[in-house]
Amino acid sequence: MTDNIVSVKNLYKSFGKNVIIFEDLNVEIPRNKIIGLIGPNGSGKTTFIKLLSGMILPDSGEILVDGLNVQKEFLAVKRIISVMPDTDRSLYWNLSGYENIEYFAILKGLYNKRERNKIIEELISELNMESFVFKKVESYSKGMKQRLIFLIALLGNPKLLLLDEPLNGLDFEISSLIKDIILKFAKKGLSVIISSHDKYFLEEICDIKYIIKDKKIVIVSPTNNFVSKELKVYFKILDYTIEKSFKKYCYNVIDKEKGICSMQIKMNDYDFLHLASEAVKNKKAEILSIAYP
Amino acid sequence: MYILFIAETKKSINLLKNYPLDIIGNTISFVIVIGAIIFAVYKFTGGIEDIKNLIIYPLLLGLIGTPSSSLREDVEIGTFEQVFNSNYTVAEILICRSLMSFIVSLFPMTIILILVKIFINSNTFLSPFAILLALVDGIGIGMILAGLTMIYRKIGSFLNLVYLLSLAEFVIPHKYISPGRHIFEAFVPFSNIMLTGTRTNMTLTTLSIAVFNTLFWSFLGYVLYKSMYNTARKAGKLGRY
Repeated sequence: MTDNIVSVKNLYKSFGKNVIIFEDLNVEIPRNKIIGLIGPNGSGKTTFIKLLSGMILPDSGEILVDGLNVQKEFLAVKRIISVMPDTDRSLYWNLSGYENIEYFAILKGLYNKRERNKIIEELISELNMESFVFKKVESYSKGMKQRLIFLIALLGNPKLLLLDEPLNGLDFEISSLIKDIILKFAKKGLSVIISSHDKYFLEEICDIKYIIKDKKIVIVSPTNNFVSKELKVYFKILDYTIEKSFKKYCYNVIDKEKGICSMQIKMNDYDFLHLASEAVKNKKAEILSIAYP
Repeated sequence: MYILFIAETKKSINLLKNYPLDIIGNTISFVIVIGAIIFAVYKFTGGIEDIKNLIIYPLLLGLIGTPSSSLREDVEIGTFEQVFNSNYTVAEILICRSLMSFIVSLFPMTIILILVKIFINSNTFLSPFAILLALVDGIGIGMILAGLTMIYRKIGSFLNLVYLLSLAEFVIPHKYISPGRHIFEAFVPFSNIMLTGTRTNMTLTTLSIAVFNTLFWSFLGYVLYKSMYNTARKAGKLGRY
């Protein structure tokens, strides 16, 4: 078994004569890690994921996934890879969520009915999908569809999970849920590559981040760890029942009479961001300003 | 493949349950159109032999059209990537769907057979050998059309053209072709059905031509599909919406 889950050697990929996506790309991605893939629109994030899954063939070069050559051992590679595509349309909208799951579970090699049902039930419960999974997909919200696509990606016990913009358009609660499940599966030894524009999400969840730049993929330096920077948020408390929750953080009263306070937090403190957004939504607090300390 | 076939069957049954009216409507209109053509041909030629092969025609439509139409549907609704990333090859899935459609088509074909029995008062017996050859030929041509769909996306009008040409071939009996008939029969798709389905006294020559025709189209289907599939992968056309 190699140390790297993905190994790309001298890869060239272009579409037509003028659109060069990757030029002499060499990259090694370690196994059992959560990898973030960032880059501007059109830089080649989705193309890279499609190259890994064999959906797109390179012009030249070699891609190894778990030591298997994607071009030559394509079927074996398909059995160890799972992809969550960047679209909430990748479902049969005229079937129920459960019917979709069952169909794709068989396609992903879960043949034993008892085992299949057990895995499906567990995942449905983990993703809180019990209330809607038997309804037709056409009635789903974006969050419901995204959870269903994520569940399908987890089927078939893959070694490498490729997630293309998994949190696209999701609210905080569902994003956290998906984040927790990614972490849980990664702890079990799953290698994950996440392509996303959400730097905060990647910062929080990824072990290593790669950036696509100048037709190459390079590791992002740890100094670019900008989302763990601290910032100061000034609040006006409108309902003092929220104060107790705020005091868990670095809380400082500025003007008790006017209810003005400040809090020093990290940009990737998602629990605080959730608390603050709920407080503002429920008119319990008002954000006055945000500043770098 | 067996499990995949079960999965495709289950999916089709679920769709049937969800949209029964659509499928019933399709079957009825299909029976009306094909039934009308059969009766017109019968009235025109007056021979039961000429309409026997025409009864196989409904089976072919599903075989030819399903790989490309289901592929197009997957691309349009966005499920192609999910299907592609399964443990099966795209070809295996498309062939399974094609077979599924073939089985479903047996239902309207049975209705047509019953109508023929009632209105023409003939015990029409279809040769299982001819149906088998039609199956292999149909899958081969269906896969070529699926390959074309991967590259050109919209091939609906081309598919209609193939349907019409094959219908013309079924309606106009081969006996009207005089020069180069054997060459025509060896290379024109579905002539294997004409050779084995109607002739009561099948010779070794006609049988050899029919088998050659079947092998030719299934081989061509395999080679062209594979080539177009790889071309589409290279050009990044798969899964582009």
